[in-house]
Amino acid sequence: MSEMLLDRAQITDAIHRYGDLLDRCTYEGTEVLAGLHDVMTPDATVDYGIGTVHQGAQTWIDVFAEMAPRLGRVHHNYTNFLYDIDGDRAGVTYHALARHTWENGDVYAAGAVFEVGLRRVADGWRIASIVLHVRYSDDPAERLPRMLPGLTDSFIEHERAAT
Amino acid sequence: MSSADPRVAALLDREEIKEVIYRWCRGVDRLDWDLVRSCYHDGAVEDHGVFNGSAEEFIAFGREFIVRWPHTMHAVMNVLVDFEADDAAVAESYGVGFHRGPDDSGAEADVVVGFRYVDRFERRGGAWKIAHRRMVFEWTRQDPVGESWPMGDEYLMGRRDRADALYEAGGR
Repeated sequence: MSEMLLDRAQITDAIHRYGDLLDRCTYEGTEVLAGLHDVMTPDATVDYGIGTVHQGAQTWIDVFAEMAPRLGRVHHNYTNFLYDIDGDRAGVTYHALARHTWENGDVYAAGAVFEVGLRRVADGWRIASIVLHVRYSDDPAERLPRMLPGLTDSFIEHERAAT
Repeated sequence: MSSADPRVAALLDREEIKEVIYRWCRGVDRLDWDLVRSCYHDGAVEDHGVFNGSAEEFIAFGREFIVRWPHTMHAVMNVLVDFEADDAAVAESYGVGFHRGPDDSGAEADVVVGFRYVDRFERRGGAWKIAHRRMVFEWTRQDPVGESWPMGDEYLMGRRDRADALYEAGGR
């Protein structure tokens, strides 16, 4: 039982650190994204439903660093964690509330579900895959096209395709 | 409770720290200031934006300040704990605070705040409590309250005193 609780705690920690680094990079600078190497596997894949499945942690760091200046100040809250742990692999789904704010008062808000795959490595759990499903998107200032100018698919279309 | 396995011991420490963070929210939302006080060590400091000072002074300030909203709900989600030593840790808690009440014109409004609590926790006398809290604001929003679900007397509504369902059920 205690091993299962330890796995859950370490997995949750890795996911919270992932979210914290993404948010902090919008306040503190994209340098903090290097910390993602400590929570993701080198070959991690990331599918945010924005047209491309990114291959590799460093690729995702580079992609996010390029996007970050357009994202405003970002605040992610993660909750409702469900765990499926099988040996050295795990699948986790959790809900997220994301809010982006800008100096002029513009706000973009979204509710989403993350599907995350993790692998156990020598010193803990690492995120190996991320798929984002956006459940709703509230964009009164029409910020999304400016945040993601290369968006080829709407979040909702991605969600329909995934389900 | 303790464990010989240091990993389990750290897990128990995290749970104890998180429970203090949750109890602080319960105390504020239920106006249970003894509960809020129990979350701080003696001499603790609270930097809360509108208030900076000792925890005891914060409680005196808070009990006057927060009643302007008849309903509040502080929801904490992502909690990360970094241990600095066996008896010291930094905890960062993401959260959203909902405050419903009259705005300056008297109309009902929701003041919603996205925040992070950045806490220094210390274990003294075997108990993890807050030694220093900094309230970090990320965003705020004020919205007019629209139509609400018509809730009659058959609905159990939250209260901000000892008659709340929590205390009737034996919660502390």
